[in-house]
Amino acid sequence: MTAEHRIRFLLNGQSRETAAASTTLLDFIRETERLTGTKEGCAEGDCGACTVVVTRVVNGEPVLEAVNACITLMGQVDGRAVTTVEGLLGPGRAAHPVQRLLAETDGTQCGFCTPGFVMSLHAFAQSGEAVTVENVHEALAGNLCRCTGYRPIVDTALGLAGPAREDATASPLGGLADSDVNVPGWHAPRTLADLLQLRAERPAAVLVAGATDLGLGPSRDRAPIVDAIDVTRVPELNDITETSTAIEIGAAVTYARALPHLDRLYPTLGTYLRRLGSRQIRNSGTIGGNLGTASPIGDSAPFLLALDAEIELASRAGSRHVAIADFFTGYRKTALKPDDVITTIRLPKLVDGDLFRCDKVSKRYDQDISNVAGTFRLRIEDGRVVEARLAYGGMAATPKRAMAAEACLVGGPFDAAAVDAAVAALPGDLAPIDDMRSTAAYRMAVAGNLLRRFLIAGPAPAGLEAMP
Amino acid sequence: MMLREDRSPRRYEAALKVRGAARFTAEIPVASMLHAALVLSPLPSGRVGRIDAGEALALPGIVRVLTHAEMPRIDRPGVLIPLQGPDVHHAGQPVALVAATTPAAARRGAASVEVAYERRPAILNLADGEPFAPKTAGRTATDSRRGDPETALRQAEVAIGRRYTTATNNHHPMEPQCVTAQWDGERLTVLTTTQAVFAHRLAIAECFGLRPEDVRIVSHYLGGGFGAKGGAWFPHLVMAIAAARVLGRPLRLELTREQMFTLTGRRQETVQDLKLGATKDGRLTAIVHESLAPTSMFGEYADALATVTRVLHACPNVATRQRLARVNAPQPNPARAPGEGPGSFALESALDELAYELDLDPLELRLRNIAAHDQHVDLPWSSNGLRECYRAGAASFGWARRPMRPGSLREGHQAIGIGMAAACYPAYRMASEAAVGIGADGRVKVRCGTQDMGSGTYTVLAQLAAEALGMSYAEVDVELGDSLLPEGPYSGGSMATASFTPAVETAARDLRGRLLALASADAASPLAGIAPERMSIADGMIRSGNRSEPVSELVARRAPQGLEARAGAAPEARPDFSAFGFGAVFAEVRVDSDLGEVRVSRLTAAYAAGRILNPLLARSQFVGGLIWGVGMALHEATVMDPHLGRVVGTSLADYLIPVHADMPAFDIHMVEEDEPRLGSGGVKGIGMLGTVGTAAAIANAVFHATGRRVRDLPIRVEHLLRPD
Repeated sequence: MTAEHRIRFLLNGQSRETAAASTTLLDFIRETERLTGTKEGCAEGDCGACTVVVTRVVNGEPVLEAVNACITLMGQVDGRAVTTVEGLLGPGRAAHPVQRLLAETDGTQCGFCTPGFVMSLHAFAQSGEAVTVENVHEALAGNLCRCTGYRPIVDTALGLAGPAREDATASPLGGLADSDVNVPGWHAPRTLADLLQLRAERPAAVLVAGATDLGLGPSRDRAPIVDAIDVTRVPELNDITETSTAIEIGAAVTYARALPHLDRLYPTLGTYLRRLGSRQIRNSGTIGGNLGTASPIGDSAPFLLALDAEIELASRAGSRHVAIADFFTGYRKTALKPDDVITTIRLPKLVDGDLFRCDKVSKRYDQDISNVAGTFRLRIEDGRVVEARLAYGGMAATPKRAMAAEACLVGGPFDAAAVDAAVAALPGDLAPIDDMRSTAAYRMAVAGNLLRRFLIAGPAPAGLEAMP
Repeated sequence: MMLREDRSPRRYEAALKVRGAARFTAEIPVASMLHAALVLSPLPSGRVGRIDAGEALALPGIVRVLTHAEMPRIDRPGVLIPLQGPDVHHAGQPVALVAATTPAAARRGAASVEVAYERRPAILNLADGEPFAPKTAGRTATDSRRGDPETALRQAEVAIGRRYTTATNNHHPMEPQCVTAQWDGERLTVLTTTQAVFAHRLAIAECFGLRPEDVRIVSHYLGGGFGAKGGAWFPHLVMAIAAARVLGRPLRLELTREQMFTLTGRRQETVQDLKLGATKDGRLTAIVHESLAPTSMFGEYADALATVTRVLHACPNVATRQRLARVNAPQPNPARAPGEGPGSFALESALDELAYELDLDPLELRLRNIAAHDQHVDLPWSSNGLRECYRAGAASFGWARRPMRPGSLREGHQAIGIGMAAACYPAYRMASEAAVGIGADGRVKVRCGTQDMGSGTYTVLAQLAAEALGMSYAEVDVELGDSLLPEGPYSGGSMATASFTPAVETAARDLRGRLLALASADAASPLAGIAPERMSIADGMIRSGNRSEPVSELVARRAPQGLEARAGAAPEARPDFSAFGFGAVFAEVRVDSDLGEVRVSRLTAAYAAGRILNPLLARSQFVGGLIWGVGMALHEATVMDPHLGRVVGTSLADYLIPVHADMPAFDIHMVEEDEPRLGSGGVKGIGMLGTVGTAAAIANAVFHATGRRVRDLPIRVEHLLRPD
């Protein structure tokens, strides 16, 4: 790993090279390439005005994904094809069908958010998903608009029925491949052994997966990342494997890739995850990265706790497994040692008789930090609860299990009396606070009501009933 | 009458915007330009001491660090132009400006400047300030009085008194503010995100002692404004222009999203006390509306909170009183439906409460109090379509099926509620000029120095000219957003369209008359000798009987340089009528009984707002206004730390503007009115109206769903799940 390999990628079909690995994709597009259709609205991945489509080849098939260019770093686009709003134009600058429809429905007013919407709509049209109101809302949740009230944009999306996938050409990358990037400040090892070696040699380097958190520095503060190791090119970290008892998700697997698997295995988890960040964020962000940054408000911790997930850590000395409960050791602190890398997250499957439910309460439906998040799993044998795991986010300084409440549920049937006892025990387990998002009293009341709803509604899809 | 959206011309510049080809201010390159970043005070009150820029200056790309010591003095009372002195009046106030060769270098430089402060006492909360009477409230008088409301309240058969509060809101247009200032001797070019090309030209000329004609302001596309790109942006615009002068090079300043919480104005929070008196059969006998809101330590601004109270409902005895108190916080300024939005929340919530006191349907209560004339100024209405709005909205919404008792409607674990409110907004106008010309190629050009912040100004300018001339919409080009053009109006107060419409129509009709006279007098024209009044223009052809000639051929032959007509229009000095747009909003909400989550599931609104030029775009404006009402009701609040005086949470992840899934189904009705007396060509303005009344309709629906009356915006989940 000595020779310099610059980042190579396609921009609107043209080949490009750069060594500026921790420059944001948005700065590259706007400042270097002077393609100003892509906008900077917040520089934090919140508004979607900078949305572009990144294409990569997975199992020989092109996969088009919308991402926030503001928090995507150049190192991440190596071997990929980037399409901006300008790149959608046909011969003679003819508007793309998405662009034509959006103009026709009056889906653009001030026009500043419009290119981002165009790209999210394009990715949606190319995804082959069913064109339903729910899917449209999810696909566009990461794009904010202050003028239109969104309805004409939703109408545009609904008008995209039966996408032709005409843009998914046979070889969108033109033979481009991951190039084992090695430029100052950015290393992208291709094997686990190389990754562990680099990690050991560069204890001060930051590990980058989706950069949805790390990207804020280069974006909002224009503060470059001095030394980064990109973990996403290591095959082992991109695997999803299933056994009869568990699913193992590589640390570099994005939320978007994990979602269909988790949706299938754990009722309500898919709905819950679709409200985590936005599609742009889920297309980049990873569970491994979320664990690594150890954000206290991360929405993944409650379901990992309830499912009793196990984290595999690896270093040159070998690998070891840490229970999720032992992984978080304090505010933004984890069990990771300086030369450790998170390799996989192992989630036990539910067994017959298990009850499971995730819920999230927020003021705004999508892309909002939870006031309270709760995930519950009960194991029931012969009509009696033999194991209970009740995990909450937003109810204490760190995501936390309510163990006294769990004890109230174990040993008897899962019924109203048991739930009443468990709800009564919650104040001993949890210590919510008043803050700008909510009050302690409300959080405690909701924590109990989520548990009651678990009893009444069972593992029904969470949240969807509140949709218009 | 039914308005056909499907026949409306499509948005003029939409094709550019969907291609990403509309060039916004930050995208216009200027040779040898520097980039600015700001160093901000973390303290809400204090004095800047030593500023150490040594580390910043050592970084690559940094050209200079400017503080108040290096900046020229600018005399502009009432506004806080940053870097004019060492005093700090609010957290987030700029105390230094870093100029660098790239935006990234400037940003890094700003992070490296060390500033020492002397801390001073601060007033951080509205309750701690000293109330005083502002000179005006928006464009209205601070206080008002008719009849004897105190006595009427005492003698009222039914009386209520309630306190309502609304939160600080930020505008957050999607495009952050930007300015590029370029000096050429004593001439100045300013590319900026402004809602007021001409007002800013004049004010900037005054600040720098220049002739207005030596200042050029350019604003071709605005990524939203909502009030944030008017007066509140002006001080920072001036700061950047002054810095460019000191630097001797063009300078661009782009605000960050975080800075848009403190440097571009805000909708002020309010505390409002509403007292209503009525007869048992629901006639209003007294209204007293008193309000308190914060202003900054250096400026004075009060939203017109009482406008709606003074005119919307008939009532013989009304007193309104608006007070401000100074706090160490950023300067408030108008935000979409300034005053009328939060003020109508209080009034229309109180009306709903009165309806329940009286056990009278809330719509029926309003129908019994329709004002036959404007009692505030004692003038007849130019028109008042409120009754028709009530009827059309209620019929479409299905209001008649609403049970009176709160908590009557349920679906699973959701409580369903429906509520309504009325709305009005003044039909403002200002002076405007416009020019309409035609070239030898047959293309029409409209020139007007107003700006388009997404409201549809390009479109209606083209449409007005096309219709008045008899040309097709596709043959019209529009130039706006430049102070070299004929002087156009401010984009705000829903007044731009009403202001330029008569100027454009007069200019277009004048041009039409000249074209017809030209044809009549031209021996080479097939129309030679025919009196102009016997000719018509349609589809680009001049016709009379069976004779005709394309306009383009006539122009090419007789006026190869093209023809242009220019006209101006100004509002009546003392109109003998009162002009308002009116509306009625109906909301359905669903409240989760276990979690308190509120979703607005349906919004029906009917508006009577004069002549509607383009139903498609008007609908977009009404829906946009309604969304602002939804945000005000359920989501938006700029939270200030009560001890530090800083904004808590300065990102769009913290400040919640509604997302797709929060949007209800919209059902918009436009009641078109004939307004021959309005000099605006019948236009009343529509941008604000949708934000008036909407928050009250939602809060009233929440009451109907849950029996809980929430008097504090935004409605929070914990409001609805608290123990009784």
